[in-house]
Amino acid sequence: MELMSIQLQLIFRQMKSIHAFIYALGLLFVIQSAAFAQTTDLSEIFKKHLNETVKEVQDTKNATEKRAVLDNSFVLMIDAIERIETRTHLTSEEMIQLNLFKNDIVEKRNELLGLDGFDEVLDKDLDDFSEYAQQSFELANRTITMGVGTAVVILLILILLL
Amino acid sequence: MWNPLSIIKHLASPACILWLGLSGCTHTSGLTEPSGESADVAYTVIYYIHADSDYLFHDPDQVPVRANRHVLQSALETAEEARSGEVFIYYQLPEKRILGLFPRRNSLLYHYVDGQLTAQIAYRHPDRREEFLTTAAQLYHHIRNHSRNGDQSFYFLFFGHEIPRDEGTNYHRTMPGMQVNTQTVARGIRSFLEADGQRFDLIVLSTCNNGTPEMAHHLMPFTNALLASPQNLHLSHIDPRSISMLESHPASSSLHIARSMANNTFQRLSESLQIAVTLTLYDFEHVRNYHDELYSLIEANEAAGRVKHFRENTDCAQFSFFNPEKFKPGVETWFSPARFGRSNAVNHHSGWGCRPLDQ
Repeated sequence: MELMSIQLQLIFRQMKSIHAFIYALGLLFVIQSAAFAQTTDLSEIFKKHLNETVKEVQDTKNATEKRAVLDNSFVLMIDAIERIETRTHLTSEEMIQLNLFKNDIVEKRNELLGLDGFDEVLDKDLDDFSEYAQQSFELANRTITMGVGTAVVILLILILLL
Repeated sequence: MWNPLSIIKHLASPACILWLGLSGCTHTSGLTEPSGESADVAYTVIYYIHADSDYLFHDPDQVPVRANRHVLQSALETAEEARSGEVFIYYQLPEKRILGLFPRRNSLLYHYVDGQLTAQIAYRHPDRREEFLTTAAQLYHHIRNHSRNGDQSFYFLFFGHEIPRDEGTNYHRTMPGMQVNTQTVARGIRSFLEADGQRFDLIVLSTCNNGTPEMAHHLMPFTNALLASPQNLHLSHIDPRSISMLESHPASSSLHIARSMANNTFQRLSESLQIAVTLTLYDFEHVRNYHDELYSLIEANEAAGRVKHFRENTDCAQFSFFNPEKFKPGVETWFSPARFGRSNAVNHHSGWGCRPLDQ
């Protein structure tokens, strides 16, 4: 009986080691899953932001307020991209892609406000224009790709800003 | 003293962590080996749905939609209706590893014969730098149910992001080293054919900016027709449901089916979108009469200027070398301009997309 008790205690100690090992494996798995999620969610943050913007524009009655909602949204996105450009180390290819993305948003803002040769978007067209801006970023074109390390920093910036 | 409850208590929490991690794993059904029996099918359709990237868009009611899942649903429905055909649906999901170490077979291949699901195979890419579509083509040759003969029609439908002209790393988020570009995609699609001289009746590229002289140059040797967008295409993709005409109207030509696909897609997109919609059907029987000349002109034009990378294509007709009448035969275009933006006054498209150049 005593021998059996000793054997069981040994088994129990081994199980404690297994316990620690399983914990470590579990955490490793959770960490690597989180890192993957961060890279995949990067461009989706902008899309979700625009989705909120479009819904807000369509729920707003006053044209001046609609225009302000859109303008604020564009300004936030431009600001976020400028912070990414200055606070992260990007490759030249990443920089080109991000710049083009920013220019696209600047162009939309110019059209909204009637700057840089554009006629200002008419009050009655603001709902459609918000959809136009959204659809311009939901295309089957080349996606912006970033290294995992850069993506994590960018993600933090976007979460704080948008 | 040993106590079973104590052991359970100690194992419970780490087991919970593992379960939480592993519960994200995709469940895959077991492999069904090919029966070895040869079915007599009238046609073969291959869908390749890329899902290893961001495919989120919002529908007109602002409901989020994953384009890849949306297309998969349509493909599965048309496969079930394919009572006299063989259908392969590749659904390429992100490659994942259990505990960051052990590769999982995450992607799926659905194989239908005569409208019946005969196999659902979970697969992965053993080499993350392999030539694009190598694993998919190997699976196809392993499980296909018949030998092809000249009477069967053959369709390949690709749903993904723009296929870059050069290099093309980072196309897959989880396999960034695998190069996906015009040449590797053309070679990959061609590897589904069983012998030189075999051809596809139609290839559909539901991507942005791939209706180009360059893409035509690489696909023309082994397909009779191509449906693609020479400029940007919304993520809601080309509607594949017209492929069911192979059942409902078996005498339909591939051009007729492609035209129906383009009509339905164009109607849906132009009614619901504020952005430009451009789709082009290329009938290579006519295009091949002048394509060498067009391709040479494009190459010379690009060599003389500096290509703007990562930009949307421009209409080739904007370049002075382009003769709209000469390069029109065999090209059928569906175009509606954007409601906003600098190009909203444009009301015509030649059907050929060219890379923009710095002035």
